[in-house]
Amino acid sequence: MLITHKIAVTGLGVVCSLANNINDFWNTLLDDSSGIKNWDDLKHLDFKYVHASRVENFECDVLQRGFNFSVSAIEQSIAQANCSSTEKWGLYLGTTMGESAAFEAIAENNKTLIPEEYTGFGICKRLMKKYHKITKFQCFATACAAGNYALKAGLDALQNGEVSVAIVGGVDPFSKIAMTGFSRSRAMSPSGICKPFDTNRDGMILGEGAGFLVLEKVNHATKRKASVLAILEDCSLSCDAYHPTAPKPDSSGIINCFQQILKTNSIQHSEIDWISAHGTGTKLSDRSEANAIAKVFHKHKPYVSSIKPKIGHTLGAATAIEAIVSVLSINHQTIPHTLNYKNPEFDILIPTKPVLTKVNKVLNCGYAFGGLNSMTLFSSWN
Amino acid sequence: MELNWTKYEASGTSELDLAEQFVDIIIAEQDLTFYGNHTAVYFVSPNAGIFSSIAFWQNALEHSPRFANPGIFPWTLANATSAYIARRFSITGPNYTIIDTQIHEDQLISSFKNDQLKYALKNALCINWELKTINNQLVVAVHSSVLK
Repeated sequence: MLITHKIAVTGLGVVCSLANNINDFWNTLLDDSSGIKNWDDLKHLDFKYVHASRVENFECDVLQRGFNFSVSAIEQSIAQANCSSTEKWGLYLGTTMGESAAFEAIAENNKTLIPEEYTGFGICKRLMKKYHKITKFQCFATACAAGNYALKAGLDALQNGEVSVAIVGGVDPFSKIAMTGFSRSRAMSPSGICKPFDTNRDGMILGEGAGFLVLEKVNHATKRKASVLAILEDCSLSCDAYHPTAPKPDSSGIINCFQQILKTNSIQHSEIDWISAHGTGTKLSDRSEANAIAKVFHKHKPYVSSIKPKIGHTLGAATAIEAIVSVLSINHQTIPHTLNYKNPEFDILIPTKPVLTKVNKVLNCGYAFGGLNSMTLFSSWN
Repeated sequence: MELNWTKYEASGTSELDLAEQFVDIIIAEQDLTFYGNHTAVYFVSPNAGIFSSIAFWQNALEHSPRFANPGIFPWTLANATSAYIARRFSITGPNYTIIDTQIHEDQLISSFKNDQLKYALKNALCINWELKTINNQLVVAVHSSVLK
């Protein structure tokens, strides 16, 4: 592929329990704090587990929390990319639950709400109204892998010349439906401590947030003197077609994704410096992911870590926020650690402290209910 | 390359029920062949998952979040139906759920062409899935087509 066809990341924006801006987010990610805490409102509603990672001090209409998270993250990313004067934007959004609070309100007998207006499509429509340069949008409801799907759509649209700038990301505001569902699926951590890949891991913690990236062709970015933060090389997708919620025991769908992205991009295993893992902290998902990594990377072991002990599982925003972390790890030549990791179970290399090292290529992984597997590949630029 | 849509309608009590009926119908009526990793699913819907989300939270309010029916939860996710279809046909290629109020045929064909090169796709099952409630029954209007 010609270098000019490569897709640059030129802007980043995030909203999550740790921070509402990239600098604070990155700095906090490298310490040993966590955005997870107990919530009294969940206790009063008789939830079994009351730990969650929620965004505080963010005042907005609860029915448009996803939209407002998105605006905050998009504003940051546009400011960094300095792309306000560019034209022909595409919006590519991933979400799991959309504006879940609206569906909860309808169930609570609010007859005035039209449910279709609160899906991810509804969020996109409102964003298009706010940002007049958006000429087209697409919304992917591919659960916890949705951010990677949005990244792929943005990448394809830029390479096909459909848009000049792609605003891509994921969003999910806190969802009582998801909180109940994951609890009833026995996926939630009773201890309230998310411990991905640890032998004593006991489940996930629900989070909320948004992550957005500005993408454009490298020649478009350099022509307007924008800083290229990293290159989004590719995305691979597969489906287990095995079980509604459980991953395939032989991890073949995930392995397929790894092999496909390495082969398509002619990359040696040893070139991957870091795997930004899905790492939810659940028994089955972590085992499936770790076994896939151990099988594919049996000669060269890249670092593997998960940021979910810090910000919880932000569902449709997860792979978008983790894509941002992938870019930041390249920019700072630093790999974030996996908080709470103490007792190894798998043959993979998990850092317990941030690692200052060469970071040129990062794989960002996300999997979802329904057996969806997704990976995006980021590289350094010059 | 063009999309030739076939129309179906089904009614039932849950999104799982509708997905089962749809797959049973197309197995009975069409001679479909899919190719594992070399087939994709493009599922487009304005409202998949919505009715299950509302039903699940109603159930949680009725019984407490501690005792809500866990069987409903996977269907609150819009991609549950496309995942179900993939399972029934063992389709392990890319599986998309796109939330939209209409089918953009050019976009679907463009996505398929991109993925055809990348994943060596032989075909793709394209579905438009629109749910309604009529007299407390869940009804789905489906358009399906195979791209190759």
